[in-house]
Amino acid sequence: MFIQAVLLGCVAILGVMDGRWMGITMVDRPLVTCSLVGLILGDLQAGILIGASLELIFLGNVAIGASTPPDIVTGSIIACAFAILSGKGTEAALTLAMPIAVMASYLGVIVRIINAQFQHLADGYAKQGNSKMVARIHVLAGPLYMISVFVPVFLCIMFGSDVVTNILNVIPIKITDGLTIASSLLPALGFALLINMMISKKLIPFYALGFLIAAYSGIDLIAIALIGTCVAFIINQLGNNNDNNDDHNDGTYINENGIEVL
Amino acid sequence: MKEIKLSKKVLNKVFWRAHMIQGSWNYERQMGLGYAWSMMPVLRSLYEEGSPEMAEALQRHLELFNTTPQTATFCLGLSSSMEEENARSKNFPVKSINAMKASLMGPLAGIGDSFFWGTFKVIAAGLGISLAQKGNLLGPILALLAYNIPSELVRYLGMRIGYKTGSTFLEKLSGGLMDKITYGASIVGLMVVGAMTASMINLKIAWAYSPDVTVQGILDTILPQALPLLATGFMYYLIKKKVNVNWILLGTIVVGIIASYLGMFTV
Repeated sequence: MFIQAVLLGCVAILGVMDGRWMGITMVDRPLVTCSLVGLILGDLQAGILIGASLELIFLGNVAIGASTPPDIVTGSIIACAFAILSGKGTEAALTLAMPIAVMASYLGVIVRIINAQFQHLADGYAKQGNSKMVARIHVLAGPLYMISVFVPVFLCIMFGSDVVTNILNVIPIKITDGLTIASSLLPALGFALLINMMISKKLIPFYALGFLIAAYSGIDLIAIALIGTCVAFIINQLGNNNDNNDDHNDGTYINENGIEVL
Repeated sequence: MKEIKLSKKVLNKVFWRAHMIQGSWNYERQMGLGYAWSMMPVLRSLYEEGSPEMAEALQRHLELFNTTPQTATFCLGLSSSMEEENARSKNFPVKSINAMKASLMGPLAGIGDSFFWGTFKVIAAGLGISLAQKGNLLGPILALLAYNIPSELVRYLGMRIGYKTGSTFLEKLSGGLMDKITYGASIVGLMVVGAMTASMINLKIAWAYSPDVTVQGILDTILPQALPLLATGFMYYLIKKKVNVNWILLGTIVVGIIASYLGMFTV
């Protein structure tokens, strides 16, 4: 279990550094991390399935600007590992992921507060024109993030596995069923957050269009994305046509009889 | 007067370093230190270590900065060409460098967020989920490809365009091109989110008058997947009413448990 706990901690490091050192590549998403967790714990299939479910729940979980959202990296890795280790599968993962992610996010907040001190340190060296030290300080902030996810993941897997399995066994079925219902409703919250980010009143029909095509025909997502791209280009061309007409008119106007008037 | 020109190698280094721009993200100056870190190859080839010019340049780029990581390179490219100009001529208005950064980071975040958070991530995740739900390893792999190919392309081109045609490209952007791109990206993103609403929430009403006449059956004849649509619509309404997301989260769990005791839904 020790080796597995270390490896899972490393997956967490990979996940948290994705946004820090890799420029955001989606390696931190449950879709990827849970598959790796499955691989490490010897049940890749379960990892992929759990990853899909957790990805859906965390879809609207975006870090925009200065806000700190639930820590999906720690949350999904621990939840997925417990689900596989306890043999309880996706439902257990859905139950555990959100509370763990919310708790873990406070560690991220602490790191971001400490980092401000690094920034002050860098200010001092900058005044001396010492680019080497400024660069070094930037890199030094990285390990803080690594520790903030490695430690909780390692400790939970190492020592928490039995506790969590026992807790999961004690919770009444009606409650876990309720949590499963809640988790299948949670993607709606994710969708709502995404809509809130993108929508203006003019754009509501496009959401409806996507919904209706999928609800009535059941065609898959890639098709919708391609249709959506076509729609975007068509709308753009319609807009351009209007522009061109305006340019062409150039202050003059041709009336119905073909006579040019000012 | 010797010719001062940044080599392609130096600019490529900035591109690679830009991947780490969030490495020391903090509440006070956000990507500030990361920005200085990314500019380092340029600063080092223009100014001498320990010189007052270097000190000024370092302090300049430690200022607050924040935008979408993928579009930050555009700003970095533009800063590079401005620093180059600054090293060439003594009369360069140095303050314009940070003024440019401050004025650009908002719009760049706007376009970047709608593209990468609103469109590419949603499409990539959607594709990945639909495959992974069948236990297919291609799910995560396809998601990574679908997201990273456009992501790296934008990051790389942003650097090139920012450095080469910086200001002229900007005029184009402010001339409505940017609005068009964000608008288009929002259309695709919203259609995909709409489709996901219809296909990825599997909640059915369990209540029935008789085995043949179920509430869900009646609902389906009116509008298939009406329940997910209603749920999403209601959540959106709550968000618009400025209800804290954590309360919505908690409320959802409470509703789930109550529904479980009432036997309302089958998942």
